Amino acid sequence: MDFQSFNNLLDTTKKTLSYYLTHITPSFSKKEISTMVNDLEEKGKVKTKSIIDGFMLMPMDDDVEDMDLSGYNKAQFTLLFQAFISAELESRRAVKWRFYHFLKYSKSMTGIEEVHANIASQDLPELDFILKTAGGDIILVFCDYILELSLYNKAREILSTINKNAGIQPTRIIFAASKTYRNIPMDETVDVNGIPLQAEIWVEWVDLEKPFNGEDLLIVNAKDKLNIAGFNFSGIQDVLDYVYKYTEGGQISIYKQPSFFSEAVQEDQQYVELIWKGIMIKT
Amino acid sequence: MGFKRISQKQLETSLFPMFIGPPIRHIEDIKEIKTGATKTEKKVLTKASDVILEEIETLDYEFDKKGALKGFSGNGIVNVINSSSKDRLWDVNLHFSENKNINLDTTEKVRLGNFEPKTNKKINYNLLKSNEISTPLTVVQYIDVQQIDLQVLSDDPPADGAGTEIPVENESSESQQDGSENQGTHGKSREPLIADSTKKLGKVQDAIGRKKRQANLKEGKNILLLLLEKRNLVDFKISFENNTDEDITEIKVGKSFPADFYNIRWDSETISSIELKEKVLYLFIEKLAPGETAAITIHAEVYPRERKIIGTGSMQVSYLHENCLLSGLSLEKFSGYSHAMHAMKVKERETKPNVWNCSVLFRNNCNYNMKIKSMMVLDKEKKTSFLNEKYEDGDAVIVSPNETYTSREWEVSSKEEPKFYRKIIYSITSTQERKTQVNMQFEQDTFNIASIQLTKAFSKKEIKSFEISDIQNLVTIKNIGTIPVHGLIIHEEYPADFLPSLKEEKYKIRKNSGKITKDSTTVAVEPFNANHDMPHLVTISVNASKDAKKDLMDVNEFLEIRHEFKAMNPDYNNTYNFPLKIVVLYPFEMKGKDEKILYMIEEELSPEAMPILNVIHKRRNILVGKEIFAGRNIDEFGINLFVKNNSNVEIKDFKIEDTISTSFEILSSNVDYKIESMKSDKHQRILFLIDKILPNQEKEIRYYIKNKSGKVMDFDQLESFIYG
Repeated sequence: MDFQSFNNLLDTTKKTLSYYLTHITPSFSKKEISTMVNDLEEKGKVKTKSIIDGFMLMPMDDDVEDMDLSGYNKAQFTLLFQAFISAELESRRAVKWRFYHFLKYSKSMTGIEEVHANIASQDLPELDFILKTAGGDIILVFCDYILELSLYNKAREILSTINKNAGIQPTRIIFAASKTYRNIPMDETVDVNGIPLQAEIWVEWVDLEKPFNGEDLLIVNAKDKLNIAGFNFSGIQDVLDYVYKYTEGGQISIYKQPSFFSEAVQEDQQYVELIWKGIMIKT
Repeated sequence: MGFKRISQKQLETSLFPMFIGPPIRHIEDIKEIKTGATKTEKKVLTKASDVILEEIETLDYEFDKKGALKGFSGNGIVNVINSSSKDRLWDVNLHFSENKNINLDTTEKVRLGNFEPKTNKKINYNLLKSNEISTPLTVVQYIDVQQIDLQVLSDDPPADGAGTEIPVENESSESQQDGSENQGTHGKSREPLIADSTKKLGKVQDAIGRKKRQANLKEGKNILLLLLEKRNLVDFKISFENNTDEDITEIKVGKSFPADFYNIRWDSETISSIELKEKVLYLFIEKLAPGETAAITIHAEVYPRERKIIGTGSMQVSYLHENCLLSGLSLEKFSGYSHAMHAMKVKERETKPNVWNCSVLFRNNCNYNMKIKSMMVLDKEKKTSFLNEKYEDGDAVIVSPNETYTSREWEVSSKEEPKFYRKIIYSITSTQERKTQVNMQFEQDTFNIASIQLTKAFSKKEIKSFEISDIQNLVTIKNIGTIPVHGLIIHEEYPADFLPSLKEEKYKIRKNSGKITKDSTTVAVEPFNANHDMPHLVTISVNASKDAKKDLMDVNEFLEIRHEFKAMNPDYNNTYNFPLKIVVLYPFEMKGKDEKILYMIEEELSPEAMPILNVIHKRRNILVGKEIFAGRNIDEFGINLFVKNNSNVEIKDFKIEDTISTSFEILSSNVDYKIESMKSDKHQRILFLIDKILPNQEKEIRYYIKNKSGKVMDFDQLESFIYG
């Protein structure tokens, strides 16, 4: 993410922060925001409904209530800004919810039907998500800001003790982090109930040569026109994944309006520039 | 914020900021070569061009100290670059010709799929076998130590007749002669084993020795030697030859020298860019044409002060082979698509209604050249062909960016607008850039140190002049180098007045690890006679024949030679020297061959180490005197015997016998005496013994006698025989 940090903002009023937050794409529902804010604030126990105690089934359907920021204070706005807009929040929970945000549009993680998020699990505090696909596969996700060998080894210990009878027989293990050390033995398999699994490491990726900045507005000319804030995505591929999922495909042109979200923009310098053009065929 | 799954390789080697810590795997820069080839990931083009196919192979060769290949790794990259800032490419395929030298499956086409603007995709592969991939550049180094000569041991003389061989040992039984009984008569009956003296033995004519040396040096099999505590002049001759039909460019060489080397200079007529920095010689050859050779001779000096292994210095060579991939990988076909438009143009003729002029338009809407491979236009039933143009690669129609190509026109009669089936096969064009970067690392070889400790000792330090003396001679040769000694040839000179033993069995040769077999030893004395009026040369060869399979002395082993010689008539006025020279033979090659080549180093015993043999000239000069003194009384007498030693020789156990009449009795004496009766009753003998008289010393014996009472004394009875 390359949006300016919270401390560099000239205007940090709730109104401005709310404006940025409403441009989070894909947007969060009311319940998602509430869960995330609680977790980011580390408030503790919440009543959950999930396959395991302490985990919550996240509402990923479209018909849930839209995001409503009216009940939140400035500190909570700040948390959300730092977690999703500037991505400067360097905590395990921030990485966790950014990964959740990534799941909502990523083409690499298709077929996910259910996302169970760890809200207050006492038994498995290190496990952050249990994903269930349409095919019945279970994916366990461990998140942290920096993936260290200690977490990796701890996760392996946990996995070796997971009881199959609890209904958790994972087919994939994912470690999601903002950064990682190089000494993670990812070529070694992890034994889960006698089944060896190869762990996957996913890192927050910044495409250094992406054709837009976080402050740009991306205008997608599809059958339906979309306006997307550049700070939501770290590369053109993410944008294409989102467009693929949230449009009907067809002939697509993506333009950018530079510095749209910048505080120092002058109106007479606004222009758009084509950054991608092509056809998306949705089967 | 997006996430991306990473691979093991990315985790270990990627330099992106989300990876903490230095990369685990990295490619080491060549240490001796300061600047390496630069790699470009992308090329930015501002004008219309082709898709760039960068094919780069990197081969790393490692050679051991004898020049044998010990390691090889080769990898290649085919980098397809879409350098356009706006054009996307799709369905990019590469067809390679079959190649068994790489681990890429070349039977199927390689599908690269789509390319976003300013992206590239790489195909990585490894080269499999080094022995089927010829090395374009042959690098040869041979090392020559100037002071050390070579000896060839063989039955056949050298080709040009020059040089001297060491012949096979003769039968030892024929050589047995007893010099003491047959002095001077047997010199001619025996062929000396070694025809001549030290000067003829040894140096093979330079041309032959050096030719042999170079041939073996090129193969890298020879052992390298340096002389301990001597200034060694070493030549490094390095040559580079281009074995291919293409130019080889940017040849960089780094030749390092160990710290022991100094005074490094060089000669080269073919290399101009040469620089020495901190004991590393950097060479740069811009280009070598096919078959061309560049060479350099580096002169250096080294003075080994202690017995240690000194390296020859490692070498690294890198070069670029343009327009060539050593694996032989060849791209047969490239195809890909970008923005293009083709259209059917049908126009009713102005003067002829229902008659249409038709043609196909092809427009290139991207920034790359496109080539049209074929155009086909058929009617609805696909039976009639209106246009069927196929272009071979060389004839393909190239359509520049934003240009439109129009096919030839044909006429069709139709009341309605004519429609056709059309198929156009086209592709974007590409430019291939190929090169191979070869890196060669040569491990350094090592010099061995050749050194011998030579001592000679005599059993006596002094002998008497003009007298025959037997002297034991002990020569000890110890190998204090770092390499075994193969054989020895010992030359001892005996001056006139001395005579060495003419019996071979008198020469005892042994090693500290055991005795030497007789078969490996030969002894020759020249001239073979017992005439001590002339000098003699004794030559002892140990393990120096061509049949000797094993080395003679290992490191730290010593060899002893003991034999007797006689001082026949030494004159104290002469100075006698006993020069000792040895020729040490070291193995030249790692493995022996029928024709053996040996290193040959001559050593001479220094004058300070030569044993001292003093010829002492001692002659005795004695005066024995007698005096008679009268005593107080008429019948008493004192007799004084004195012995004066006027020489420089100590006299020992000197006896004097005096005779006196029995009418006398001995009153006293200052020296013990003994009385002996004689046959005659009238006389008796008195015996004295002086144990020693030092040089220039005088000893006195004084004894007193008295006439026995009443007897008449004759004076002449006092002056009787004295024996002394």
